[in-house]
Amino acid sequence: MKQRLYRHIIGWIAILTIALVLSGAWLFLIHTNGLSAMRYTSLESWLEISVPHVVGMGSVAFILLHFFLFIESISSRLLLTIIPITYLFTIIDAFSAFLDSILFKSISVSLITVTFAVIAIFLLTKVKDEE
Amino acid sequence: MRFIVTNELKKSIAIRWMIGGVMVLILLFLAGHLLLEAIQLGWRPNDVLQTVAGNEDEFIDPLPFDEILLRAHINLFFAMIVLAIGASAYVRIVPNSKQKILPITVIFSTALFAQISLILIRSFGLPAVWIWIVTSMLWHTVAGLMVIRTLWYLGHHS
Repeated sequence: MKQRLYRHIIGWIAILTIALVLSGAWLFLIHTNGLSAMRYTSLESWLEISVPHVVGMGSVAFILLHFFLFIESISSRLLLTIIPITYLFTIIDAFSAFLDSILFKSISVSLITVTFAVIAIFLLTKVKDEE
Repeated sequence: MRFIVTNELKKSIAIRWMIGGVMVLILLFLAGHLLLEAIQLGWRPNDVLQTVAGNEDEFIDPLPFDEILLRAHINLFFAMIVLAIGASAYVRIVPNSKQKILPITVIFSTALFAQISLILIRSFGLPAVWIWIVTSMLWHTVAGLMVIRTLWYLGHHS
């Protein structure tokens, strides 16, 4: 019964993660005004966005990825590929605003959004499979 | 989480204190967050509508949409972290597993719908405000009760 409840919690965390990354991508699109207006302005404005995102995305990545340890069908080799890639995308996204390139920022936001969404959807399918 | 799902809970006073500490902090967060939302957006439904959607007759500007979306985005993050930790501890510590699925579903679903309704206040007005108020109250209150119950069993039955 407890395992079922934990799977239920994981499913909801996955759903909230999807909502979180979608709202983040929506915010990015609003702030860039159709991918044209966002530019690096100052160290302060970059830190204002990057600092909470470094710890926020790191925590979400940790929470989502640690559920993978309970899924037996994932090989440890695949897991050791997914984990560093996710954290690498997180770091790239946090630093991308510093580079004054809207194209680079768009790619990094897309990468991290898709990565988190795919991980969340994968967890949802696994949770459903095991019920 | 793995460190909460340890079997050594009955033996380890340190783990009980750690979980107890984080439960007290979550309780403070829930109370403080609800209070902050009320202070910033308004105590009554019409106040919330006026703050978010503005009022032309009284020359009150609406909140910029990106500000509302940012608030929803931040709330989603905090709700996810707080509810994940709170619900995991609740499942681990409180007995009678059969009745636990309902409060878990309520806190996560209402936390999500609260943010969706916050975004929709400018478009749908007072009905969206009411949905926001009810769902916000629900997820904070039910999560708070779950945390209190966890603390109770942590102190008396572990």
